[in-house]
Amino acid sequence: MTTVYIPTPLRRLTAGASKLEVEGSSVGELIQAVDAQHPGVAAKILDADGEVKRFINVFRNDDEIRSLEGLDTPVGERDRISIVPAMAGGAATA
Amino acid sequence: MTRELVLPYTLQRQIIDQSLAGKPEEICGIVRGRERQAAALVPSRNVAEERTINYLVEPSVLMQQFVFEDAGDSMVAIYHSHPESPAYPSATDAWTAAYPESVYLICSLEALQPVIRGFELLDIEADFDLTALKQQTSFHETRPGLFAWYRATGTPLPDALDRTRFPARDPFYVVWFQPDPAAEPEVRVVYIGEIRLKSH
Ligand SMILES: [Zn+2]
Repeated sequence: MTTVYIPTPLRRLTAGASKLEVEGSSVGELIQAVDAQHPGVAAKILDADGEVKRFINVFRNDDEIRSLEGLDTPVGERDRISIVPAMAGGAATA
Repeated sequence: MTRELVLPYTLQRQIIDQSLAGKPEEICGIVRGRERQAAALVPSRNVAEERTINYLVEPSVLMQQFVFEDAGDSMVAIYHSHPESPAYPSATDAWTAAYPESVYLICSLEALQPVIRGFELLDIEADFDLTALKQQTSFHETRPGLFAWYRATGTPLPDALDRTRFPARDPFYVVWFQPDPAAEPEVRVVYIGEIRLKSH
């Protein structure tokens, strides 16, 4: 089992759970395993093409998976997967 | 009921100092705390491309929210500066808001004295005809492809936002992203609520 950390904005889909233990050998499989338990989570993370949405970062331990093998990034029992929506914004422009 | 956040004076001072040091660029960071009480800042680099008008918190800093939680704390707030505009969420801030449970702190350097204000940015579930709204209001393009209309408190609600179906809560932004005219716009309606800041 691998631990997946769920950010606050997605917890209304996970009955409030902040982390979940799921089975899978890649990041993509873990996301699908979370979605099987809590339908709707994958749709918040992945776009229509099945890629991670631009404003979502997924980490395996301290590394963003785009710098690894994306959704194919392998995971082991001791890895931590964190789902982190980007925090961005800006000023009003005239 | 007005929500509150205790933001000790030392933390307010740190946000102001970081804002002044970062000028003319925006600065940003997150705030660790517990139960509406801020305890410490985690400053971030601003990793946006156009940093005088945008901010983007380093993902590795944002990941600290889980470290906070494992210790019984939480990310009580997120802060950024507006070097030349008011301490109020912009349409871009509303469009990108992703943490409804955290307070959005904005430090404005527009006036002689820096000002920090706090807000909650919450999605309003709404079903309406965007085409009709466009015809009935003056909206503006705030970023390429990003359009916004702001409804101030107490101002008339356009017919397109049928009162029976549309929540009365205001103020709010209607923001939509349509990078090309043929594309289906993505729409968000975001309520802006002020959070009262207390120093102790
Ligand atoms: Zn802003």
